[in-house]
Amino acid sequence: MTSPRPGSKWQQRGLWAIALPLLVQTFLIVAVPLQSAIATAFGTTVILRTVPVDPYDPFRGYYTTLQYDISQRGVLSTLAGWEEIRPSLAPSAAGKLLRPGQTFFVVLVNPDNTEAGATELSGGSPWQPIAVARRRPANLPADQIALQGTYRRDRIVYGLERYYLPEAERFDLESRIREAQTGAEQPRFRVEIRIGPLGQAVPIALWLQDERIEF
Amino acid sequence: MYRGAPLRFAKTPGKLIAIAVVTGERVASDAFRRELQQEAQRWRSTGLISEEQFQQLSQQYEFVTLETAARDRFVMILLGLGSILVGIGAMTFVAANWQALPQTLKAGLLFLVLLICNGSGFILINRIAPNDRWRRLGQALLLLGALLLGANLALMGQIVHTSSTRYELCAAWAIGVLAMAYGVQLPFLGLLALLILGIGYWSALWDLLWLQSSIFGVWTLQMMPLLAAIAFLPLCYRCQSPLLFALSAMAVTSSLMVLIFDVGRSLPALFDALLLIMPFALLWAYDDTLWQQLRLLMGRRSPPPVSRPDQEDEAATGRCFQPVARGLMLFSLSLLYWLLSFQDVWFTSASRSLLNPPLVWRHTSLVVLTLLVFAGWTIGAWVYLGWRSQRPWRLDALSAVILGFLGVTATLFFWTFNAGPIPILATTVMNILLAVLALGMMREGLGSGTRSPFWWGLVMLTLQILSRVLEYETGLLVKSLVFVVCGLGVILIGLWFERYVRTLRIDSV
Repeated sequence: MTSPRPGSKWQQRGLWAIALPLLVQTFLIVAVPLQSAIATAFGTTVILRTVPVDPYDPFRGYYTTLQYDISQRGVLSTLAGWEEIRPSLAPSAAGKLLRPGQTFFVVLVNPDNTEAGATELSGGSPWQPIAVARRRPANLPADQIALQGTYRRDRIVYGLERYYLPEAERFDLESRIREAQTGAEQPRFRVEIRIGPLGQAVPIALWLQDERIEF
Repeated sequence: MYRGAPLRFAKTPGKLIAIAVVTGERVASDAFRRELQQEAQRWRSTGLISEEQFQQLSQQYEFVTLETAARDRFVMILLGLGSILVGIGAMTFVAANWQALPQTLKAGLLFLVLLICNGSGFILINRIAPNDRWRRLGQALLLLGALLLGANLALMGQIVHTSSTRYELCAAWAIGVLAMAYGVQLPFLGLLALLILGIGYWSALWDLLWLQSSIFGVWTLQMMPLLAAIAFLPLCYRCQSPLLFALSAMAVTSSLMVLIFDVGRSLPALFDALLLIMPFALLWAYDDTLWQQLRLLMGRRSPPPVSRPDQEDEAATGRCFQPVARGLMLFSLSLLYWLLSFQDVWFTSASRSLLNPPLVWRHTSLVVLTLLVFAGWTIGAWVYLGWRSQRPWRLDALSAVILGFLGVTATLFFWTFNAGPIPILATTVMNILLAVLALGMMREGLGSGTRSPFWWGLVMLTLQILSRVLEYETGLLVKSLVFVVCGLGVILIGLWFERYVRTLRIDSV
């Protein structure tokens, strides 16, 4: 902090000096959830299968990192349209540090063939990837949807990689996940997401076996 | 230091006031004012200056505030510390993700507190009378407001389960704080913005894989030196803060270095070698008056009516940050030379041919563009450095020496990149350059009466000798011989310098 300088000239600043910065700050704060709000309002609900692990972010707290089937190159390479996008997804040998990512789209299909957006009590079955494409496919059937992903330095991200957990319920959730994994029943850990009009997705809730967990 | 001065003051009271007024505009440091107060009291008691003159001095240098200055500063530290703790508390509250309050209520509350903090802080420093305790409280509230912005952004990200990286959070946060710093013109907010941006930037280099948006994420990373210069340099001038300038210059040059290391190896060896010394060259040639000249050129198409201000009247022309930039350059250059004086560095840097994937324009166009802008700036700054009105282009002696140093360094890089490692020659040259640089800094420090260059030179010299002793496993007899030869050499240089000290005139800038 600076000391008020003795003898320095004091001039009164207009209201803009505080109003403009506050406007900028408000815009920044509102901009964070904007895309998510659009996806929640106009999007389609989709369930994906996932695997969790938990790290900690000093600003936003504990979260679980989610890894999806479609985050794996191997899974994507079995889909239709792979040959089209493969050149842009070539593994970079001595990758440039600041290399920008390549966007692509995965087409998902609802196996239950129910009305899109309706989640049953069990959370529904996970949607299955059927194709990949460079550009967002137009005119998809009602039970299909395109999800935007980014490929960067041999990693595929969808913006769905984190789910923040309250500190208080983190251990409880962890133990339930462990139980599910050691139990007789096949562990079913899924994520409910909403995919917005442009293919960007936001995570909404977690599904552990038949239970919906939302924070 | 002051022994000769009072006599002159006593004889010419009119001149005393003139001198004092000029110095008074450049706010004198507390240490100097305290020393001056003691001296002035002594002069008054010994009759060197009259009571009236003492009063004039006392008024000009505000001796009255000296007693309260220390107390005020302590209060300010406490207030600042309190704000930081409250801000961290708010951030930890967000991180706890407490479910007893609905998320929207939390977001609303935090935003309200942000508005109240910033608004009341602004009113306190701006609307109520200045220079009193309310102003300090206002500054503390603005600091708290800046930290609360981070808490707000983090909470929003948490609510929507964003996967964006820390860099994206910190960049947005830094933009908000920077906007506030411009609005209220407080340098410490600029420092905070720079710190937040720095944390984000360096963590981005680790979790680059997870960056979500290519516009806000990757593109800004690729142009970071340019963006940092554009965002922070005007603020440095508005706030007249050398500390902010020093940190901004470090941010710009270090992010520039990241870019150079990233793409340098894909470029021809000559460009790579030149790029590697570019940040140092830019720091040395940085000139505050370049902006004024550019503004004059932009404003009116006709050539500026005033000729280029001379080097002497630094204070009048506002060349306020050039010494900071040059100090930073000498500091970093000596560190570079010390690193390059190790033999291993030259072996590893020869692996250039192994790692050079060709540049893909689509991926690196912004990086190349940024580097081109900085190259243009550097060349322009050097041209401007040697430009004299109505005289041929000529560099001053010190700048010419520095240019020579940089040229030798670039030549060694170029040679190594082309012909493989040249460890013996390169380390010898680097050691000589380091020693000359360290001795030069000691000389300058002694000459100008400033301590830091002298001590830094001494530290570098000692570090160099110790490193060489530990690096090479030669026999003790040889080491002893080397030490004796070096010692004799230094003594001889000292004697020679003693003899020619009057004829040697370093063209100080």
